[in-house]
Amino acid sequence: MVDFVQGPLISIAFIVFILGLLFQWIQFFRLTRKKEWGHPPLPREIKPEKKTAGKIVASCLTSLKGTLWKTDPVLTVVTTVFHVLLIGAPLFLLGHNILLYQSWGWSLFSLPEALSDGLTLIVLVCGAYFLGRRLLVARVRAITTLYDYVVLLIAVAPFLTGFFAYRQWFHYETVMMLHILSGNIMLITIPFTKLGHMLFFFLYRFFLGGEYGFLRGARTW
Amino acid sequence: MKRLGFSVFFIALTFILMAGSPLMAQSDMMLLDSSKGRAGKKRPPVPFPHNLHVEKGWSCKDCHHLYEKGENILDESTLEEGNKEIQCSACHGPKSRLHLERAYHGQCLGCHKKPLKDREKAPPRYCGGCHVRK
Repeated sequence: MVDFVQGPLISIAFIVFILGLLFQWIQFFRLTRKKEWGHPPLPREIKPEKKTAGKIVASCLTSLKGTLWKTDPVLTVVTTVFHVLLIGAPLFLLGHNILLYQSWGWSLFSLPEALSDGLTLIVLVCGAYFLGRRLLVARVRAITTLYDYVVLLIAVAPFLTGFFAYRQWFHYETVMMLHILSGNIMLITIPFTKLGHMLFFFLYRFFLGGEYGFLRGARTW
Repeated sequence: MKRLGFSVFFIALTFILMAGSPLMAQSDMMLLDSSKGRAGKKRPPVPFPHNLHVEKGWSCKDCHHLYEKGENILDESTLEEGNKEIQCSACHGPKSRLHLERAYHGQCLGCHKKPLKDREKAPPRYCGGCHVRK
């Protein structure tokens, strides 16, 4: 069991993760190939004015008001920090990079361990904030199902077990096993659950954004 | 990594590791002091039971080595206390690609990461198994 989890399962998890995302990417274009409607881009009525750097920054700040920043600035900050660290903290963790070097002969830059530890704690605090929101805020609770809690657990579990493992709390070998297992589960579930927004965020953000922005009504996907 | 302290520490570490030849009575538990490693990237020192590894049937040249054309040509009689030429750091210096940290990790993990059939007394497999926090 232990040998499977820390051996073949890691390879399987990465293969499922990559092929799964590839599959979803292809599916996205396959299912939307038949266009229900379409018309050429609307002509631009206003000639785009020449923008100075200051104006671009100002317009960016103004457009922030049309986003979550206006309705819930705390959530905006928490979710941004959470997502950046979700990718960044494990990628630049010393232990991971040493193992990477052992296996493949190369590794990434790694942060000091105390810093990584702190970043992990921040991820956990953000996770606790999401959990708290789902439990305590009525309008969020109303649309929360068990599935959402499970997805949150899948995302946070590798960080929780990693945090314990670094401190060597509880039975170390067991915690490490759970850490590797939870990481594998996360990789495998990303393409097939809500966690798929790792891929779909970019598709939605740029295709829909493009459709309503630069291309003025024309669909490119 | 290239700091002076680093090299001094690893030379000291090698002294500790190489102290005594296997022909003589070994102090069973050696302390591989990694606590002065790269700034911010240090783990607790590793208590290394040398005798345990000998008892498990490993021969000297399974770990101690001097490679020439892919062959371990180390003369076991040179494995004596104080022989600077057979210390790990003699080759695995701070500037070498396989510097001491990597050499130790490679040497230990090479066996410790392997799947084992005998699960009863499994050796440490993860970082904290050797770098034990007090």
